[in-house]
Amino acid sequence: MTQILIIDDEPVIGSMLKKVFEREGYNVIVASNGEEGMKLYKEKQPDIVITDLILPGKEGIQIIMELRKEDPNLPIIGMSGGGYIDPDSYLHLAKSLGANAVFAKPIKIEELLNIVKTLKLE
Amino acid sequence: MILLLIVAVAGWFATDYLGNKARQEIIGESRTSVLTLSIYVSTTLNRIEDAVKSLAGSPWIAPALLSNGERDIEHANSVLDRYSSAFASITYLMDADGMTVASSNRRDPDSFVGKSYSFRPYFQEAAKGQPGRYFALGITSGKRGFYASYPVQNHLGKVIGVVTIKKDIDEIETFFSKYPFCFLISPDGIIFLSSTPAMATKSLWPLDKSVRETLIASRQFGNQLSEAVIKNEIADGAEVALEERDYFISREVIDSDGWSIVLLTPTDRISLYRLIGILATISVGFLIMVFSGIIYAADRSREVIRQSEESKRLLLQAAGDGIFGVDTMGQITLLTQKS
Repeated sequence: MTQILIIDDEPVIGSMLKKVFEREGYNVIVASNGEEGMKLYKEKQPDIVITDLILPGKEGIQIIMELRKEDPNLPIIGMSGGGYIDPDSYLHLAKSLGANAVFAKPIKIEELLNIVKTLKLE
Repeated sequence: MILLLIVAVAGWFATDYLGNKARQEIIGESRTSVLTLSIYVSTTLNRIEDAVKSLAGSPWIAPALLSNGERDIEHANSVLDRYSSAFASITYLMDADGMTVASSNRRDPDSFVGKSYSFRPYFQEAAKGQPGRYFALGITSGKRGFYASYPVQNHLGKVIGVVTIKKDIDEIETFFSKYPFCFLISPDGIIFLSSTPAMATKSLWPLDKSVRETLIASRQFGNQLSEAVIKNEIADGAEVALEERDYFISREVIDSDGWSIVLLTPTDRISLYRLIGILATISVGFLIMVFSGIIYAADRSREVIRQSEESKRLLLQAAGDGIFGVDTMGQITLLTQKS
């Protein structure tokens, strides 16, 4: 079963995404910050990582860079509502640093499910 | 008769199965829809929260509070304008007392500059050093808005002011419009956004007197609250009757304060599936009765013919002379014993 690691500091969003992906037959683990996310990644070796980009402590951008070093082929999806410069800058940065796909909030779940299916097949 | 009884029992089970199948379909679709809506709404709000956090960290914001000089206020206003434009919202900066010192709507007739919002919970939360979030009708505009606030700190980490983004969230309502009854409700059950606009700011279920008085005093939803839409507090997975139809309730909490998305899905399909089961049972029963009738009639005809031929044969046997019948070809078709 495909395992997804979701990293989001908003517990309700993490919990709702978990429910959605579990309904689709995925095994889901959730971390509420970057440090916990990296720890879970090393322990569980998930197949796909979905991370918020604005996180307390270790930022999403940093997580993407570390994950890319660990595994150049790991499918990574970044999602964000805004950044320090303008709303899209973080998303562009995330993609250029190695995220396979980026999503601007608000999240349309059908699109997220589709991209996860596509990345899983690659 | 036994066959009809078997059909009736099988039909009862089939009808029950179809009703349950329809219920499971409704529950599955309703849960998927409410999660989709909840993720959309909560990430829309989370986007504003991310932005206000970024705004509070801008190097142009704190100096306006520290010096209160015209040039620093101007710089702060230019940053507020940029965020206002990017997020289609009103952005404003309050000092530690809640007085607005800079705002993206400073040139509008209903400018926030010079107004105090120290009584608003989102200011009080951020003044304590925590991010704030709040849904309310605007005191000045009367429009429904989402307020995300964040503390602005000096280099020692002391809170010197609060920056806020007020986002008009009417646009989220358009996402609800494809459902007959879909609401964003407060923890107390006040409908803040609704797929049926006439229900907005009504309470979904009756409020305690003390809760009602507290809400009216806070002016969170204006100066008065309309009557309740339904009689009791609703729960996820229950059913409710509204405007003479029955609905399945899906309720998903979208934040730590207890705001939730409520979706009512019509349960008409359960009755329809059951009706199909009943009609199929009646049809099969009717067909069995028709075939039984035909078979009975055919048997009865055969018996009548057989009895007629038997009585004819007995009559001929009883005759004193021998009798034989010949057809047009000269073939013998009947011969009595005496012939």
